[in-house]
Amino acid sequence: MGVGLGEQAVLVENLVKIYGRDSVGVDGLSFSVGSGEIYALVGPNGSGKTTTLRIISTLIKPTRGNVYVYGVDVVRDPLRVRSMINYLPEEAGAYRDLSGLDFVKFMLSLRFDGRELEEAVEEAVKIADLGSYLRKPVRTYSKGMKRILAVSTVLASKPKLLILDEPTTGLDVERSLYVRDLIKHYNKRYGTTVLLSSHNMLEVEYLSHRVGILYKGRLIAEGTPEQLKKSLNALNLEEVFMKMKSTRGVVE
Amino acid sequence: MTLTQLIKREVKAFIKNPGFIIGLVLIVSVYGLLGNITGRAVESAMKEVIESNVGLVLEEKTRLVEELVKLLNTTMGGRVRVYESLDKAVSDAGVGVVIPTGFTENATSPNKPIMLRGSVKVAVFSLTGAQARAGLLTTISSAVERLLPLAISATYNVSLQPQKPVLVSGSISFYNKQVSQEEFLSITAFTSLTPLLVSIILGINTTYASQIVAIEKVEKAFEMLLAQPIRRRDIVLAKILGASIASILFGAVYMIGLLTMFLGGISSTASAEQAPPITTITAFLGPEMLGVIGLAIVLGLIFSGAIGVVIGSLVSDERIAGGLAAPVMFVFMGVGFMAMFMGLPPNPASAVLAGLTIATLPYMYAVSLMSGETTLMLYSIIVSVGTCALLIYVASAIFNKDVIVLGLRIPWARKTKEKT
Ligand SMILES: Nc1ncnc2c1ncn2[C@@H]1O[C@H](COP(=O)(O)OP(=O)(O)OP(=O)(O)O)[C@@H](O)[C@H]1O
Ligand SMILES: [Mg+2]
Repeated sequence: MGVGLGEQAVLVENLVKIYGRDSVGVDGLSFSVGSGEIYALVGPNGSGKTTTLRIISTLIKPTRGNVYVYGVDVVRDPLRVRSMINYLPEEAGAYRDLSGLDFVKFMLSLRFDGRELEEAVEEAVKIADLGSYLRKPVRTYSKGMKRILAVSTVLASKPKLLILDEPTTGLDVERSLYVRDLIKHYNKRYGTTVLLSSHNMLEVEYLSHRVGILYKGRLIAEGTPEQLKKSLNALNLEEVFMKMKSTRGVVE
Repeated sequence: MTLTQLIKREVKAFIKNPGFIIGLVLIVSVYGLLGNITGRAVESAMKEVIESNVGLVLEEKTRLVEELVKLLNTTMGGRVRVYESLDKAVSDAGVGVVIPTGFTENATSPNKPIMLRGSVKVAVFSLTGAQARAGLLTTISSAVERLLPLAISATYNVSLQPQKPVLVSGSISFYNKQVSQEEFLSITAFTSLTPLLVSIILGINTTYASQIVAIEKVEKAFEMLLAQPIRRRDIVLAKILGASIASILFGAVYMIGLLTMFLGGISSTASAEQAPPITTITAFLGPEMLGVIGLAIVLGLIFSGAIGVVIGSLVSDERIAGGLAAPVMFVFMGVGFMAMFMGLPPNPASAVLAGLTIATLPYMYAVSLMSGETTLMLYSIIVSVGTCALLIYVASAIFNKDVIVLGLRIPWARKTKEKT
């Protein structure tokens, strides 16, 4: 594929997203994700995580700034960007009238055909592990079942860059651990770059090579979990998060 | 107690639904406009009828006939003109009635029927306008019926006679072609009803298409779909086609329902020797008419589907989409009605209007064919194809904008939402 190690999978430069007169989504954000890296965006509610991920996924357009995915501008050539990524939305549902299996088949048929499609569907089915439910309509699924269905669809498409907005919210403890391991596995096995957001600091610490802390649409800290803990003299990332937030609160 | 709370919540939700409110405004303004246009058209048609001269051709010049003509002229406000031939009467006065040889004899001997011949010129395709003109013949024959006893008693100095029925067998000079009244009614009814039927299918299609998009948003599968490596235009086309197929099925069932309804009515009343309306229509408008209807449906489905997709892509849920699509459907039907009341004259403006509304294409085809101005139909088709292409472009452009993910933000709607 011609992607050398250390090449930037995602490059965000001075990104600004203004929704309306008094609603700023992202406010001058810059960061980058290296190819093969797992990068986590964390931050309080409304800090701009979803906004950032949606822009990188070509769903919405930046107000200002530049965003590149493997060197391709997301505004200029969104179709090429989409062919390199897959995106798990914050709230991912599925067509109510379809069975889980048909939904997976449909989504993957937009990327693969023939033997490749069969293999991808098989893989998604294995990941979802929904048993007989897979043939029942999605409207009979619980929240977590819908989530795992979406996660498995996205993972099985094996894109170069996976963009996951809170991948494990709504999943039970066991399934959360399972999904984390899957993400790790895909990253190791296929070199998939992963950009995710999360409120679960345990998850972030377990998964990510690097973490960016967002606050009111700006990056206020960035580094490996170790670096962040060390610099703030914290035992874990949760403590880092609280300390960062409180110092910010005082400063502003 | 709880019921009032529930009802309150439902009513509030509806009143605050921006789709509902915009829909109301749309209906009031569009129907107001349509009403204005058709009202004026109907008024001018009526005025023309009321003010038009009445041409009489006298094949017999007895004293009775002279007396009758005098009386007719008085009651009709001096609008009676006498001509040498029916053709002249029709082309000059617009309507002509022949008082035939033997009229006096028939009028004065009992048990003899009184038959008049007449013809009226019609160069308009509006059902109401045309019927008003066709009605002129009956107006004249009934005036004769009323005045004949008076004329007889004045001429022969006898006491008042009982009224005898006076019948008129009329033909219609429709764009200079002679047609019978039945044929005329079949043609005008067909050409003015077709746009209405087509517009109903288009209205349904807009609803379907807007629901398809809005529901996908609510199901939350949309964002994932939008991040897949497919062109947004393809998503738009798929939605238009999907809705269109559903609408065609609906339309087919609807037509079958209508046909069974009408055929049930006809078989019990119609006499056997009467030609079925469909043969009249193909005889005058040609089998191509069916092709034009097909074209109008195909183009119309693209047109209405694209409008539906635009509505669906701007709203955030199917409640708002439904609130908006329903009035848009009525707007389509209003355009269909318009063709019924307002005769579109054969000129380029009409051609463009028909092209823009698409449902009125079959109507425009009939107008251009009957008036011999066939290039007008070509204009209409070019305009419709252009309109469809433009709408697909607009829908695809919206699908490439933030609004497809975020929904349209209407300031006042947001304010009310924040309060709840
Ligand atoms: N559609 C929208 N219209 C207006 N403002 C919006 C919209 N979406 C997000 N915002 C604003 O943008 C900011 C960032 O929102 P965003 O959804 O990116 O946050 P987040 O970090 O994903 O939060 P969470 O952890 O709750 O998911 C918030 O202040 C939010 O109010
Ligand atoms: Mg979010």
